[in-house]
Amino acid sequence: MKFRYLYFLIFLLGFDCFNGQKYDSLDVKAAEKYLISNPEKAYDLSIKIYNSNDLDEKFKVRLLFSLLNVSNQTQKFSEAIRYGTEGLELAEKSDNTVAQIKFLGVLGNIYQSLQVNDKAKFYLNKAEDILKKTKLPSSEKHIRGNILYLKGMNYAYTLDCDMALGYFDQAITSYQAAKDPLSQINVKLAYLNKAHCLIEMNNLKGAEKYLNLSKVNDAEISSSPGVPKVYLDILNRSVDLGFAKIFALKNDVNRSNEILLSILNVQNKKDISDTDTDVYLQLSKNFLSLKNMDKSKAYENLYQQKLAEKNKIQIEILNNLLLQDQKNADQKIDQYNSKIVKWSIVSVVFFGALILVFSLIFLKIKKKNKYFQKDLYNTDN
Amino acid sequence: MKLLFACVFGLFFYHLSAQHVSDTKQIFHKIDSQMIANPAKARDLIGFVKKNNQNKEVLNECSRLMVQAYYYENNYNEALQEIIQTENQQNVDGIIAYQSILYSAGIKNVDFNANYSENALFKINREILASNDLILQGSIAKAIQKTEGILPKITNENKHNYRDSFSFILVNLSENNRLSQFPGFHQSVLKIFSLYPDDLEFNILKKKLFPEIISDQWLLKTGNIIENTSNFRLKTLYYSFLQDYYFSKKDVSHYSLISQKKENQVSQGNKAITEARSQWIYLTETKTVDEYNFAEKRGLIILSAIVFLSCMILMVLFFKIRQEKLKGKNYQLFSDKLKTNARKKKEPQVISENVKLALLEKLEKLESTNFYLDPHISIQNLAKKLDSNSKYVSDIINTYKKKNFTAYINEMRIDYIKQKLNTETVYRSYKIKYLAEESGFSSHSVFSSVFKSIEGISPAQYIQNLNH
Repeated sequence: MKFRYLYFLIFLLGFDCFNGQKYDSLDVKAAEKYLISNPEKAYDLSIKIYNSNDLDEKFKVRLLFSLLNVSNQTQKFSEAIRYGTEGLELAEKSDNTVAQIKFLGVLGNIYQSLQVNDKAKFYLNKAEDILKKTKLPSSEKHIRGNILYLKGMNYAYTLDCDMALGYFDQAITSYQAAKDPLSQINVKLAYLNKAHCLIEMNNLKGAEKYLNLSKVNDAEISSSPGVPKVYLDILNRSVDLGFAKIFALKNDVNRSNEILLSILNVQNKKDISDTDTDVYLQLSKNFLSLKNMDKSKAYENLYQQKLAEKNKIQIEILNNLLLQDQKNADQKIDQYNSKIVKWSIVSVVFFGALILVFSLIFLKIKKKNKYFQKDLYNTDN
Repeated sequence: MKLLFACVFGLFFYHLSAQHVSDTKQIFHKIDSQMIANPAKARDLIGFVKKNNQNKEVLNECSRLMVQAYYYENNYNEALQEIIQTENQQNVDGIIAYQSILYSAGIKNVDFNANYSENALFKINREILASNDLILQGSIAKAIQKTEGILPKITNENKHNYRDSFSFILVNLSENNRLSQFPGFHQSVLKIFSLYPDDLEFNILKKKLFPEIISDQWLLKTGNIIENTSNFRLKTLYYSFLQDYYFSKKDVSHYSLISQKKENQVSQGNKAITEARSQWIYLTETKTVDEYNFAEKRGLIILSAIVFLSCMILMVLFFKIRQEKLKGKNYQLFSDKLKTNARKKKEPQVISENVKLALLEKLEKLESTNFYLDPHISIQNLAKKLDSNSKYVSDIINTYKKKNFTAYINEMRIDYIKQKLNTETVYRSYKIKYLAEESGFSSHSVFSSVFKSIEGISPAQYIQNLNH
């Protein structure tokens, strides 16, 4: 089973953070304005502010969080991780626990989307630990839901659906308590992925129940201002995919194919979701059970093609990340080494000067004593 | 005789070590033959060689083969750990193998500590992998050109280094009928196959890329090997081949069965690759943290050494300065003493008049006690008796008695004995020796001489004159 709905949430997390902040600068407001319509412009503006030197710590943490989100959305993952790590360090320094949880959540999310599960787990566990010790203000209650949801996704990715279900349930409870419109959409994501886990566990009745809960109807679409309709459409298509899988498992392959083909029909070219990859796989499986080898092979090829494209992007990101990590590590070591060289020079100069002064004093006294000695001998003689 | 024994022993040990080398070579040969069909068995043999060998080259070879065995078994976890542990000391063959295996998981940017970037063998592997990248990007024409440029560089001696990298090219060409769309690649592909004629993986790939009549016997034989193999890659490839084979035969039931098997294999393979990427990030991160900690430790040691050495030198200097200062102080004291003494010598002692008179009074009092009759009297003794010092006493005698100490004592002794001779006639009958003792002289000759020098006549004459 493949879970491919995470990217959607990343957007929602980023969106959420920008909506919830009050900026001190007009420029940052402009960056916020362009976040959805023109993320590249939003990124450029944020970088410009970041590079100005007169930022206080609190403001810098907020800006770094914005940069983390905008870099993440524009798929500049290495940069996103760099800003995230820097922001996390600052948040830790200033003991800003809410910011720490936010940074940890998005960092975990990035690593999860790159399928670097160990790192994702590391950040999310840390976020969860802080969450347990922190009482969130009522306006930030949805953050608990986000972290628990991401933890659930992390387990779902590593195919531990038992554990994932527990976290999805906790996330659902948190989102329900939050009551804000965004949490009402996020709760549907939790329902959706819970349903996919239940399908994986062959609990089809339970899966159907949660798929129905995750469907977004027209009334809900109109009551969710700020969330672009395209994202809600993707959510609904993912729900349809879930139903198609259930029909296939119930041996109603034709009904399943009907749904799958309808998903492909509505899928537009600018679609940012990965739903089609799963649709192709399911279609290939369905046609195989219908003994239609040609169609099965054709959809399998399409699936492999999509997978290869995705793999190619992932390899590129992974290698950039490795390169950046290596560069950062080398830079860190070089910086440390030059610091050591600097301090060594300072120490050598300082102690050298001291040794020189002491030596001169010693030589002076010795010379004086020598004269004394000579003088005394002469007197004696 | 000794030389003969040495030669015999030398020959014996040479024979033993040669035997050992030959055994190791045979085992390596066996490992090579087992590696593709049964990597688990190959691993056991590698473990045996590793256990019984200390030679660095043999151990490097073992590490390389072990990594390859793990890779064929889809055990990236162990393979990557072995790579990160051994890449520092690995030779170029090993680094090429490691590069190919990491590449298979999509890990391309690897900063190997052992730098072989300019090595010709390493460069060839990089070119093969670049050619594979071109195939994946769809630039097949460029890939053909690149591969044609590489193949003349491959020899019987170095071909084992590029087996895995060439297999990537062939596997990717076998996907989506890529090869059939580019007949220009046929010649290069056939050349690659000719490099590995006995390799089962290449054999299956050849049948997949150039479908021919497959005999039932071959299918049965290969099927048996695949059934028993622990080579995950070989199994996946075979299922993929069978999928194409049954598709071409329109055998739906076998096709469905094998498709499911293949899907399981592919999903396991993808999962392993995903985990491998995650693990590699963790391993490299741990490695860079270790490197940073090492740099930090080294830096601290350097700084501490500078500070420690400097402090030691400063301490030595400090003590030396203190020593010299003490020496100087002593010299100063000594010099001051010398100066005082010299000054004392130069400046005569001035005694106050009161002290002089008091001392003279004391001396005259003492004269009445006949102290001078003591044969051991000296100026020091006299000074002691007068509670003064010899210098003062001498000064008083010189000033007031107008003579030196010896003359003063001698004159008083002679006066004493003269008085005795004048007043007590019995003395006149005494011997000169007795008279000398009575007056404090240690010998009669000194007495006689002193008496004569004072009175002008000898004591005997003086007595004679008195008697007359």
